[in-house]
Amino acid sequence: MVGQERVGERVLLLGNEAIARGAVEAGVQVATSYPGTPSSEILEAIAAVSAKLGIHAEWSTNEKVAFEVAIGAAISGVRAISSMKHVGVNVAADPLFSVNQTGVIGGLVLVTADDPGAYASQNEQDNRNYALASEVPMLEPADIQEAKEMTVKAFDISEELELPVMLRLTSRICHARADVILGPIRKEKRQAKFNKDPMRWVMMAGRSRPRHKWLHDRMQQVQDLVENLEFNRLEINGLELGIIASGVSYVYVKEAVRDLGLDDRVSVLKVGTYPLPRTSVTKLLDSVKTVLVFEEVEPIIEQYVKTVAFDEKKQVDIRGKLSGDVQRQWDLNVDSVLESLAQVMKINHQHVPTERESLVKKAVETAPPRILSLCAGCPHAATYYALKRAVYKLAKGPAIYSGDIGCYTLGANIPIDMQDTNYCMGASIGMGCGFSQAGVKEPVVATIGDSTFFHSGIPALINAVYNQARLTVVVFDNRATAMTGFQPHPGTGITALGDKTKEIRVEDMAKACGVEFVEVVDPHQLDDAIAVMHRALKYEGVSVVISRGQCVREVLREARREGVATQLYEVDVGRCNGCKVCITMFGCPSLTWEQESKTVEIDHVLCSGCGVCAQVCPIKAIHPVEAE
Amino acid sequence: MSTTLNELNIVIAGVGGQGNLLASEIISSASVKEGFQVRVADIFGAAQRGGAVTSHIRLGKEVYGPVPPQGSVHILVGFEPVECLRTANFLRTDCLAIMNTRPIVPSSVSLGKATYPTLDEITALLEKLVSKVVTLDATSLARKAGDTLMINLVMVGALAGTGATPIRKETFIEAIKGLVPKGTQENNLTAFNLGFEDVQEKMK
Repeated sequence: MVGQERVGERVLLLGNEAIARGAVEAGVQVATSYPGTPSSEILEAIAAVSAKLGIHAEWSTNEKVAFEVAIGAAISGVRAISSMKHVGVNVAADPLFSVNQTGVIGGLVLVTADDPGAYASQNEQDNRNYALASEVPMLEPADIQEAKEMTVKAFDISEELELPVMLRLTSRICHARADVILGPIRKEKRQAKFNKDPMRWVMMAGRSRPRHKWLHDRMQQVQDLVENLEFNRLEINGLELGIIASGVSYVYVKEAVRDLGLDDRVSVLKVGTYPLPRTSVTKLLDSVKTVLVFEEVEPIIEQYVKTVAFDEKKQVDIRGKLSGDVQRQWDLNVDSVLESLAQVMKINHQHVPTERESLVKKAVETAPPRILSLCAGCPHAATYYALKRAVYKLAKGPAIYSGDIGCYTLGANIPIDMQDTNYCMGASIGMGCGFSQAGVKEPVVATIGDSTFFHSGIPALINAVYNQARLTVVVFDNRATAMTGFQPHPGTGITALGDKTKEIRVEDMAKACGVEFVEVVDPHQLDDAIAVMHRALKYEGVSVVISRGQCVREVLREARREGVATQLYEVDVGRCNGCKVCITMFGCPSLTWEQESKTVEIDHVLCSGCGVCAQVCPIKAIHPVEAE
Repeated sequence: MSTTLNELNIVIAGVGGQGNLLASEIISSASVKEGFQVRVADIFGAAQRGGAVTSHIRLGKEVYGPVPPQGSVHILVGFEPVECLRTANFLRTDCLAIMNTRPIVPSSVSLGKATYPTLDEITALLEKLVSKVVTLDATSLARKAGDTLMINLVMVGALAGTGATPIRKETFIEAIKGLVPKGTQENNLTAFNLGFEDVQEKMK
């Protein structure tokens, strides 16, 4: 649907697909990204149609590289888009604070997929702050149709102002679906041409000074432009309360206003741009005595409105997060908006009748919690088990497990419980160096995934060798960026389009970084893996063990494609002595405890037939199911 | 119901790996084909597998945000028994609940940190919460259709079989044909029909 013409048709699109469609409609020629929830489907959707439409689409090694690729393309005159999750912009921030000064020729759009509520992230940082800090315009859609329109418009604005434009999405846009009307696809391709202009493109000391002034000189033009954009809309109805809402909060406000019957009592300013539409804000301040602001996550608009009120000398009560009327952190929803609105308007409102409340509470509490765990058959589970055994064998007490970002982060949960830190991409090795250099007594183990290793593990590994840290790095290599949806990376030898390319091997990289202990193990061969990890832990210096096993989801997909039946395993109930080592030490989700018989059973709907539990069982009570 | 329908809220509750997202896509694209405005929120956090996964589908003449307010869901499609309970705060008193009876026991239970209620307890609680509960063994029906993976199609069939949505059976089938991988269409439609017939019988 992203690449087909079908102009004027109304189709169901995922928010991220709508962004991809918008980029395609705008005639994008280069699209880059590094996978990260909730942004990943944008590049996937573009890559799926890129061969047909002549677009270069790539999974870059990290967000900084992704954005730099897009910048290179944009200053050569073609349209480029770079999409990433909010924390990815931290990685890409360095070039952002130069390209804002050089500006661009071809439209450049930087998509930040924010995660209010931190459902799939280490934090819920509000990347509107990046637009403010780098002084570039930003658009923020309220729904999926608008997300597509804004993407198209962002390219036009970028070229008109010669500035990169940020597009801020949130999870409720990225991972929501809605009916969207398609627009025409711009077909003409531009020939890339880089015009040398050293005073503009070379941001060395001295030359950047005039460019900062250039950026500030643009500000009036930016302000004039946003005042007239249809993404900002002032709906004056009643004058009891003025509401300002940005992004998806706007649709929550519309629904809450309807449900509370407030249509004739309030006025609403829908905001979709940064800088904010100052004229409309002032007009609203002229009309009402109280303003209530809804935004995710930080009180950016609230503070801005206060500034405007001060400048314009308006005696208006401005309320929101800072006044305690709106939830201070996390994502908003219709219920929280209903609650804030009812409170400010002094209306009695209750989501669930009191008599039902206790019943609802009981129902929710009766449901046992689901601890996120690695899949049945996940090679990482086997790697963790081998590592745990190797650390026992070393007999120097518990290790410090310096953790990282990926599926293996789920090793933080019981029963694995082997992630002692989790900060950001690549931090396992960098922080592992820190533990070692600080002089902790415990063995230090950095755990990092294959894709994360390429993303930002390599500079830290060089640092470890160069500065003579003592640590063991275990690379959890499942040959995919699995957590975000199995995207390929340099170690897989496959491109974003599924084509073959040069495979860059983790072991070659580790050796090239100067590591002298580099071993590759198969985690499904537990005894071997334990022996190698034990040697690595004893090694005086930096040791790297690459534990390589294809992601089980891919293994099962492959088997299904080829019609190969999975060899399942079962427990010999007569033999099982109920020691539970397989559940409490290994923890495959297909292993269940039978309370009555005091034995373990294997759920054959979940079992993938990896056979690791049979190696874990101390009394060999688990064996393959014999063919009937 | 017709396109004058103001708003219908459906929630799909299940566990990662049960194919809930495809079910959500089938129902929502069928709704678009019927001419409704549609808003869908798939809520799955970081986990590819094993965590609770919820999809909210809202369709009607004019719908707003993708997640409905509490107490406003008309139909619960429960892929797993205790996941039905977890959605309790969203359900209307006159909600219709369709529940797959096969549990997926969380590891918290195997580790002795929690207990899994009996099916009778779950059903009794659900019956107090909503006006009608229809149960089916979707996992067995999926196996009958060729693969336990197809419980999502069985559950979509069950939803269609209730007749409680304004989406016609042929529109569901059209949506399925457009969304399931080529070569699996026949089995998926068998799964859909098994769910449809099972529930249609129970609604009588």
